[in-house]
Amino acid sequence: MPPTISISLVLALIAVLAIVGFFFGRARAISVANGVESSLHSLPKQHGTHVALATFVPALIFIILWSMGSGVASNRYTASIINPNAPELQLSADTTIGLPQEEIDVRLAAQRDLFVANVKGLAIAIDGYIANGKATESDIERWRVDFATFAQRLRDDGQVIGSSVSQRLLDTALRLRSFNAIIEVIGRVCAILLSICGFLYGLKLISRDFRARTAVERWILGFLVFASMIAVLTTVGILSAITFPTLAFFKEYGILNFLFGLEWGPAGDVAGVPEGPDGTYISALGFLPLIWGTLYIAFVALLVAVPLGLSAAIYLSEFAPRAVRSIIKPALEVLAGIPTIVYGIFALVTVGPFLQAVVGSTIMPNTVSVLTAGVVMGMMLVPFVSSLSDDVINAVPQAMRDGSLGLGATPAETVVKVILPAALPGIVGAIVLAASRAIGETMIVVLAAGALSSVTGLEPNPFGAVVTVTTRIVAVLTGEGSGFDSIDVLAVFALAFTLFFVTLGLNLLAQQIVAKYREQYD
Amino acid sequence: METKVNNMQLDTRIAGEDAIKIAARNVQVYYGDTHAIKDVNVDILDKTVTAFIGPSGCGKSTFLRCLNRMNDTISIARIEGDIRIDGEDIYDRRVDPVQLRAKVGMVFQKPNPFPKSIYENVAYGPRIHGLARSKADLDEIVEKSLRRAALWDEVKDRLDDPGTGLSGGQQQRLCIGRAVATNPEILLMDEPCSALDPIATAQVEELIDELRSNYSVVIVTHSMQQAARISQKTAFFHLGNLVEFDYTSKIFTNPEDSRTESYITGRIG
Repeated sequence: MPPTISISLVLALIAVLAIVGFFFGRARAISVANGVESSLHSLPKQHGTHVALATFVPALIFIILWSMGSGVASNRYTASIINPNAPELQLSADTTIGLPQEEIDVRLAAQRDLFVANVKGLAIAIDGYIANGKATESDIERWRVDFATFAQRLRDDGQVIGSSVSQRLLDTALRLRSFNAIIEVIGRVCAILLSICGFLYGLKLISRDFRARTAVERWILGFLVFASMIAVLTTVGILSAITFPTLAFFKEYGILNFLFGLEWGPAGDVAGVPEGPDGTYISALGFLPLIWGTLYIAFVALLVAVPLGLSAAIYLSEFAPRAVRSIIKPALEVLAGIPTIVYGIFALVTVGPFLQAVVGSTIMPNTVSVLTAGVVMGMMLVPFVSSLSDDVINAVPQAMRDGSLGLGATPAETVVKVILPAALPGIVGAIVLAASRAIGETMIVVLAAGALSSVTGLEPNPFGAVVTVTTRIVAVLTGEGSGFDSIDVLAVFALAFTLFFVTLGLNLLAQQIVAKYREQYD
Repeated sequence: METKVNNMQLDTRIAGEDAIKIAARNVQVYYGDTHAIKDVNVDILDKTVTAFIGPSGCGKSTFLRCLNRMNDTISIARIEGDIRIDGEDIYDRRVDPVQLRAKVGMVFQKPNPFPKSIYENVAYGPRIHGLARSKADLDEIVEKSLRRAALWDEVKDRLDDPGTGLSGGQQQRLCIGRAVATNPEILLMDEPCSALDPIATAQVEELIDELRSNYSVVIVTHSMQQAARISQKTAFFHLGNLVEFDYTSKIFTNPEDSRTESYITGRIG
């Protein structure tokens, strides 16, 4: 086992070096100036900051990149040390009888992936075991001979490991660990060296003419660009994570069958076994009933939230005395801060039974329904709509109000005929944001809209139960027995993918509307 | 009341009739704890341009906004005293400020056309007050108002274009046309030219002089030259007091109060 250097030690070293660098840089700048500080292009503290940044930032970036790269490297390494003829990677003869070669290849690959995953899992479990102080590196080496008990010890410590543990698995995992350790040490040593280089280079640059001030500015600019790129990259990352399983699903199930299927009923099949290649599926994975339920509830929610929220915003911004405003506005914001699961409980135990009592159980057989979920979600969105609209209405120039009132219009006429038209683009934006939230909302609908595991057709009755896209994603991914390559789970990716585009489309539509009106009003 | 001649400008510009349109007595205005207007007494004549001048913050705009109760929209403002239009107390409980504002039109410092078409801007007042029985009626009111605002010839071919697309001077004349459309008897103007270039200013000033034949015009202005050019009577406000109110010619040539003289000659303000 090579010596290890803990990451916190490395970071602390680099940080100390950076702080020292700051003072060294500053001192050096002062000495370069020969007592005439105005002869320097930049202030001494800017020189110091530059040295500190040169010491710290490249090393930090290196550490991050290295840890990303080492993940890839250890995957490669694991794949390369696995013996393809090992018994763990074979299929037993009786399970392959009568299957076409393609299918056998797919299952072999799955078997192999499983083994690699188990190796990595075991390596992580051993790391965790050591980190918990239950053993030392040399204890672990002894496990090679004392094989029988270690799996149990790991489990007792709360570590997660695969169910089948073999000698070969342990050997491979231990080899992987040594490899990882070497990579880690190399990376950390390099990071420290890089930091020292940055430190020396930064000091060397200091002269009367060196523009440390501009250089620091560039570091800051770099950080700002990085921060904005993270947001973009996250979107790209999410998209790419769901795109490939989605495409696989479309290829297997058929994009049209999915988009226009009227039935949703995943069979909950077992891991590693795709559905039959002849095109028949036990699972029915049609998108329409789910998007129907989603949009139906969102529509009801907006029907509640938009009139109420907009009216509240108009009252608060145009009519409310300051004292009333100072009470109602925070109250609305409290409403916005309630977790959605609490709304869900409210819907389930209060609103649902109330609705049922009002309309009778013949029309409304269950307390869960489109209206239950929609009404409560609408209440959730009221502060959202009102707070956004309030901002927009307040942004309408006072001159518009004065103009209208000065012509003898009443305040209400002013709101309807002048303020709302002028604020329309922003209000539309608020409504669409609310719609996006309604479509993506999960917890309320899980509790209040009905949690049927299968559904056929589009439920027209607003008192009937429906299922939504988000609840099905939750149900399939938290359900038992579905492996991540089963058709049901792939379908969930397709759901997420499609939902993403529905909300994206809505946002684009809103931008179009806003842009159109903005031209007219500016 | 003796009739005086405005010697600074055209000799013909004599204050029209001596009929008193607005009579203010002992008016006090408070903004919260600030005493913004102190004991103002003034008689504003019909068919006359009356200018309010004075340094910034002297209360001239505040007083102007009392005349059509626009200060009602500011919750911390409090008004005491007595303001009568044609002998009727406008702060009487029975007076509807909304009706009052239709009778006392207002034009603001910055042109503020609504984000609607030129036509809709002018038709706004007549619509909410139900002044037009038919579309033809409304068309007529719009045309008449725009002609009064000396804007008709410039916009008659593009009445459906947004009012905000006009130039600053045109926008201000549109706002005047909009105010005229509700058939007011008095027009209040709060520094109507301060956001305009000299040419647009000249056009609006000319318009104000024409409006005098039909309305009683009260104008707040920062420009003493403007007051001298267009008004028959001038009121000088200072620190919330009405210092002097007299014929424009008198104010600018022979002011009685030393503060007026100091302001006119540029020593305070």
